[in-house]
Amino acid sequence: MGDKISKKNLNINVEYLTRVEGHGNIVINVKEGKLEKCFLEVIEAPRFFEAMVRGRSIFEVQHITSRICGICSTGHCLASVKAVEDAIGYKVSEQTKLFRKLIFHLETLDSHLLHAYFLVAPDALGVPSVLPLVKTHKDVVLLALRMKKEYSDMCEIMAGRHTHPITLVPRGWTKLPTEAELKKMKAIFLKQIKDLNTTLDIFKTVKLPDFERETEYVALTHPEEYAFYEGDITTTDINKKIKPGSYKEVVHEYHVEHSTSKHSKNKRASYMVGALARVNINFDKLNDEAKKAAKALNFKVPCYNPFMNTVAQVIEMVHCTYDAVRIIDHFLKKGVDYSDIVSSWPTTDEWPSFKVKGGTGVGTVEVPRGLLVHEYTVSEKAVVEKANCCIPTNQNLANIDLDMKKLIPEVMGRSKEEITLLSEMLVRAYDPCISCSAHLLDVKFI
Amino acid sequence: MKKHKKILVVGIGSILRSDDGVGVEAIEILEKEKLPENVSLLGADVSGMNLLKYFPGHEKIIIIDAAEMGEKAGTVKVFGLNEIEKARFNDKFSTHGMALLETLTLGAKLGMRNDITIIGVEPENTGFGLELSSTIKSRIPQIVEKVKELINLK
Repeated sequence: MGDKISKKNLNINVEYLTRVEGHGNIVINVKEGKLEKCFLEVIEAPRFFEAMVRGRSIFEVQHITSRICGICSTGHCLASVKAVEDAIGYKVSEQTKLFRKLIFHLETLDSHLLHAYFLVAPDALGVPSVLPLVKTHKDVVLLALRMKKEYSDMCEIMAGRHTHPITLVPRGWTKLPTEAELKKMKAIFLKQIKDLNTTLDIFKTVKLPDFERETEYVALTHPEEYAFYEGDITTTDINKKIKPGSYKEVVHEYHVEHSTSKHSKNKRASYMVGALARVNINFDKLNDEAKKAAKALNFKVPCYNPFMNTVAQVIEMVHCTYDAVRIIDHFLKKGVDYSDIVSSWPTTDEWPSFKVKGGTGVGTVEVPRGLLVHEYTVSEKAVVEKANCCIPTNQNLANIDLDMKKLIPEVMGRSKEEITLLSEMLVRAYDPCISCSAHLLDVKFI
Repeated sequence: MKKHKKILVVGIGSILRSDDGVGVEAIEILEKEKLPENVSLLGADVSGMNLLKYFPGHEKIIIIDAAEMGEKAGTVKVFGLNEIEKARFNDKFSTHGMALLETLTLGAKLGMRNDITIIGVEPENTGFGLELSSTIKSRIPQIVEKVKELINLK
């Protein structure tokens, strides 16, 4: 095939999100050798959710926000719960925090696994989707599905069900794992080490495009741990830490003409969030196993290749696995304090002692795709009056555009197919989230 | 005693997208019914590969989902996988795009031989909203009856 393009003109329009109301596509337009247009567009759904949570009680809002995404439902749920707790000035127990960190690891593992194996691996192996891999690499597909099932089983233990957690509520947990369940999870993780090592071996051999563009990297950071659940916001361009409540000092949202979604920037024209940003910022906080994995994967910080986001995800998978075992071991040794369990709504007895002081609260977490912010204004009657939600995919949009603007001229000599594939791979590397779209079954009868 | 087949009835869709949540709503109604022990219900927002893990434990799987079938809104159709075109796997941009049809195609490729029946419901409105449209809401009893027929209760 290889339809050689003239270097003068090139038009690429990948309408990949056709099922999402036609809003999403990659547009590349070169005229007379000059790059005229080059951008990615996705629909911005969270704005609709902001309207949906208005007028809702703070004790139910996380059930709505967790459905913004089927993959990072725990992330949205916890950003929501943290924003509520911040608004009413509620401090959760250390045990609650630690269990929240554990469920976060499960979600990160599940999401990264999906991305690495089902989106990036087919590109790397030169096949259009995971389907042909069933024939050529059946053991790899089965390994990925096995790991996915195990993460899902463990999520079910912690969250009450696989997606859209029901046990995570403002003030804490409505259910905590038994000793037997903790042991079960530990056994699963230990058994998984072999599959995890195979994953490392596979991604050692995956060849990703050689491309670099330094940008500003933004992530949460914490003095004692690799930050997912808690920390302050920092970037590679500033030498300070910003409290979650002041997130607007970093996340500057603005409208652009070509996109219905807001873009974000800070010190430069764009910034990047996600695994690569986190590893670049917090590498020294990774556990030893993850650092070893980074070495084995030939990953060096700082890394300016956005395609390496997937490798950063694999490194995080190692970190999360061993850190999850550490947390489980902690509870197996110290025991679980079941008196810490709370009801999803304060009981009649609790209400008098439970004063909701209205205010504004911010919840920031690192979800698989990057920094997520929920901000709520809560009334004294425990009702959400206003909401703002900044999702990682939107924060990355400007950065993807600028990556494309640098990448396309560098590969102009290649065929249109190759250029299209590279731009698709670039977008995929960011693991963009479009799940808030309706997933209708598209049926064509034979 | 004859061992009954394990049956899973699963409702799929996002309850935040109006009629897309029809499957989940139908499961909530079914949860109030007395069903045989060999029948499990799953009111899932799972749309993608999460569904695969339930395949080995259930011989028969009944899926209720909003479906674009080119029919009048509110049309309820029961069909098997062999009656429709398999997934073309052309939407691989996002893991979330790994939707029902792709999942079922992958399952079949992997040699999973479950007896799968889909109850497709043509939606009226899939915009953002927590309520089903009145057209689709009125079809819930019909869907529940179809499920009962399929699990041989009727």
